[in-house]
Amino acid sequence: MTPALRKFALTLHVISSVGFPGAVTCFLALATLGLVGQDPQLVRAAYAAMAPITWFVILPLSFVAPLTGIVSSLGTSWGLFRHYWVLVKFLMTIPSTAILLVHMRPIDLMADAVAARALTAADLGAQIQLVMASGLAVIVLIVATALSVYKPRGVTPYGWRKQQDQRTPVLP
Amino acid sequence: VQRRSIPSTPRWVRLFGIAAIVLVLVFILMHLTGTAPMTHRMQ
Repeated sequence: MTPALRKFALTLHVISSVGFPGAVTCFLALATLGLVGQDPQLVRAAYAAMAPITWFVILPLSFVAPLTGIVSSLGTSWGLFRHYWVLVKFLMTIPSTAILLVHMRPIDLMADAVAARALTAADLGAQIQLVMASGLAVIVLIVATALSVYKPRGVTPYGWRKQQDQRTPVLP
Repeated sequence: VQRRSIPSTPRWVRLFGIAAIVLVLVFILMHLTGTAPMTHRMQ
């Protein structure tokens, strides 16, 4: 990978990785407002805003951040499977994106529901679910960011073998 | 050239693994018992 392409991928990765927790935190704020808010109009507005934020901000970022991360890791000596912190970050991302995709339908249903009628006690489960899921996502993204900054030590067996291969001189 | 043995898994990775297993078990248990918020039905 050329230095220019590596820097471009890294820039995209940093932008998306920083924007992702910010967008999910906004979602959490709206979901919390929807759950505990007393003003029906404000609650309706909160749930109506969640759908476009999810479709046009959170969903694209949930794909751009890991994809640029994979490109950046494979294009550098860090690798994707050599260091535990990279691998753990990658493994955390897969279920998080899957959970997000599973929750797209409840988010749309909630937005449709508030557009058509007043919320009832039957909607409470969905309201709690949105707060819990987005709260958990914020925690996961904070941990992922911390892993990127601290880069805790630890080489996987695969990474260790690669290091050994690079150190071992080729004998004639 | 003498090769050193493979380094052991760091403690923080083990803790992450245990936390992941606990989370998955809690998730499965909540859905099996029907106490998960996801088991709701929207009208």
